Amino acid sequence: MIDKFERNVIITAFCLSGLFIFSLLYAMGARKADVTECLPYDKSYETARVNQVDKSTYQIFYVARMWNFEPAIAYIPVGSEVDLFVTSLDVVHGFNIYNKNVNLMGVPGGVAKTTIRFDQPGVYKVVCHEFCGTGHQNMQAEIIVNFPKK
Amino acid sequence: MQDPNHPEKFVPRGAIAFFVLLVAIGLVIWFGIYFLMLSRI
Repeated sequence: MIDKFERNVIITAFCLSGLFIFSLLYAMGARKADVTECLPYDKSYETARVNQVDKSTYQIFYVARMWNFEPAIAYIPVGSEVDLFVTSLDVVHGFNIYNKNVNLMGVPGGVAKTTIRFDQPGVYKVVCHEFCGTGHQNMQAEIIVNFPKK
Repeated sequence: MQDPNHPEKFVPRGAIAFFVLLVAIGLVIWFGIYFLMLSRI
C-alpha cells in the first residue's frame, strides 16, 4: 500500500505537468506563439536583405558577424508580419529583439527562422546576447516600425 | 518510550510546508515568465 503522502505528491506532480503542457499548447495554438525553426542552409542566406512578400508580410534576412548585424536598420510598416532569418558568417551570435518574443542564435552554416508581428509602432532594438568577442556589447541593430519605407 | 502496539501518528508538517512552498514558488516563476512571453507576442 502506497503511503498517502507519497500518493498526494505523485498526484500533484501529474496535475502540475498537465497544467504546464496545457499552458504551452494554449500559447502555441490559441495565442500563436511561434516556435523557432532551423532551415537547411544555402549561400543565399549570406546576403542581408529585406523583402516585401505582400502588403503586410515582410522577410528580413539577417547576417551576423563580428560585431554587427546586417541590415543594421530595417523599416517595417506597423501591423506587418515579419519572417526573420538569421545566420552568422563567423562565430555563434545571439539575436534578441528587446521586449519581443524573439530569441534566436546565429550559427555559421545554419539558419534560424521565426515569425513575428509588429502591431505597435516604435524602434525595436536587436541585440547580440551571446558573447562573441571584444565588440560584443556594441553589436546591435534596429527595426523601425511605422516609419516611411526608404 | 513508545508503545509498539500504539504507534504515534506522525505527520511531516515541515516537509509538507516545504513542498507546498516549493510548488508555489515554482508556479509563480514559471507563470511569471509564461505571461511575460505571451505579452510580447
